[in-house]
Amino acid sequence: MAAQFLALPDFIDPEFLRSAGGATVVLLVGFILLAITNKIAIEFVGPRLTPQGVMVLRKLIRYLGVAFVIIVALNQMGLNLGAILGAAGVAGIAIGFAAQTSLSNIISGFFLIGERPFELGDVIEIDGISGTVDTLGLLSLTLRTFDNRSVRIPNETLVKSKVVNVTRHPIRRFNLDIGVGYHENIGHVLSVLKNVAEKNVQCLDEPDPLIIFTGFGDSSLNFLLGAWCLQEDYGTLRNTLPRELKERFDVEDIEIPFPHMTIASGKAFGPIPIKMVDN
Amino acid sequence: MVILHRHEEWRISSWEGDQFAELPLEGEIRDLPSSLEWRRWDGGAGDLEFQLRPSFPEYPVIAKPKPALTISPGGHALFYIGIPASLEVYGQCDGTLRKLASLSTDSLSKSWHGDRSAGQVCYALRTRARRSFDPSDWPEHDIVVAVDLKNESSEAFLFDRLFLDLGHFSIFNHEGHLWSNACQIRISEDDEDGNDITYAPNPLDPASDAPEIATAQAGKARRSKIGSAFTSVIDIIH
Repeated sequence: MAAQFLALPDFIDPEFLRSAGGATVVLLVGFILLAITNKIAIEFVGPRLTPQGVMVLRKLIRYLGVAFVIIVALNQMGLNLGAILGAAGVAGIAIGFAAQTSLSNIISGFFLIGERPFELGDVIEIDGISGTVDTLGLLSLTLRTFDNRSVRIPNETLVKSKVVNVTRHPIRRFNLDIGVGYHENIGHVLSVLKNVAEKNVQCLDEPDPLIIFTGFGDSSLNFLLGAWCLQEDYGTLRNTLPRELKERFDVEDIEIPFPHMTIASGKAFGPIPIKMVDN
Repeated sequence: MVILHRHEEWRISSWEGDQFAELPLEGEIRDLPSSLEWRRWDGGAGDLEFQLRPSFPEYPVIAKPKPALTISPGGHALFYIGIPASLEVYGQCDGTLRKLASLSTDSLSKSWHGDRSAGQVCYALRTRARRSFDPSDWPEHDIVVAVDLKNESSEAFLFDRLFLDLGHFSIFNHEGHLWSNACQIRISEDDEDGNDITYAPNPLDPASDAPEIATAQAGKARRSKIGSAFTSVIDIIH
């Protein structure tokens, strides 16, 4: 009775069971080894890589490892992989054409990891979009804009486009263009600009602020004030410096003119003749 | 600055300038202006002890003599540099003295030591480095740091800027002035790894016997190196 209870039903092939059991063992052991390999690789190689490099390495090990384990398991099941791969070869050509863009993105991703034009957490500008690099994957990068939108940018686009890394360097210069009235004294204005920059808390003493007279504009004498600050102080400097400058200009009675045009008659500065006409 | 212990908590309010110049040194809590901005820390009912300790600013400093001085080969020049002290407030919390706040006695201007791609933030000192110490002419809360520059190179050395890390300086109290232990910086041809700096255990005279009231934050050291101590390495490209 016990032997009959334990006998397999006729429709179940013992050979199939053995294969399936073997495949299951392969899968279990394979995934466990894969997890261990992943951990060891990240521990030894990870410190030498950037955070995005670690992310890509982790994904690579996972995808390749899973594919390898599945192939071995299928082989264990007795499936003829040669035939499958042969058929896949034809399909592969078609898929290859379709996957051109994905492959290009993956390869571009490797170039970005090697070249490291930016890292996770950097603020970059690309195609008019600014934001913080949130993730850098095999196919694309995710940018988080300052108003908290998420923008996905393919790696191929990053390699082909001009990317401005705003936070690459620890200090940054804030440029402020200023125009004052033509009757103002250039030397006095330069002195006031220098004094305002010196007193601003975020403005660094060194490098020296750039203060130059840039030219005679249509409506004003033009100056450039370039104040250096730490990256983290840029936003504050951008708010405080123009305000302090305006307040100081008000105290010094320095005019900031609006754009205007003076119309003069043909005879130098004579009044424009006006003739009354009766219809 | 106002320090208050009330409702089992510490409260500190600080401000710059003469905003509350009319505030008396002693008075009732209700006399305090409502516009004071407070920072608060939890403390127990019996936590009444507090301490005020001087310290150096949190960043290194850049000192400049005005005008610059040329030191001949083999020569040396002693400078007294005034560094505005910071005031650390320690309050007792659950029986242990903890640092509650660190306040600067002067508003220091931030600066950068290094080039545009790498370096460190520091403070630019407003008062110039001086050749002598005159107690009547010395800012009240400035720590006196005596720096002896010794030119061991074969060429004249133009001293116009000094970057000084403050980690190995202790603070001493002498007749109402704060002093640090003195140091000597050697200038030689082989300065690729940095300039040698030797720290004395005590300040120079007249404060050589002064008691130490604050230990060096990075620990006491006999010798050290300062990288690019005299170099203004900012590449100015407009």
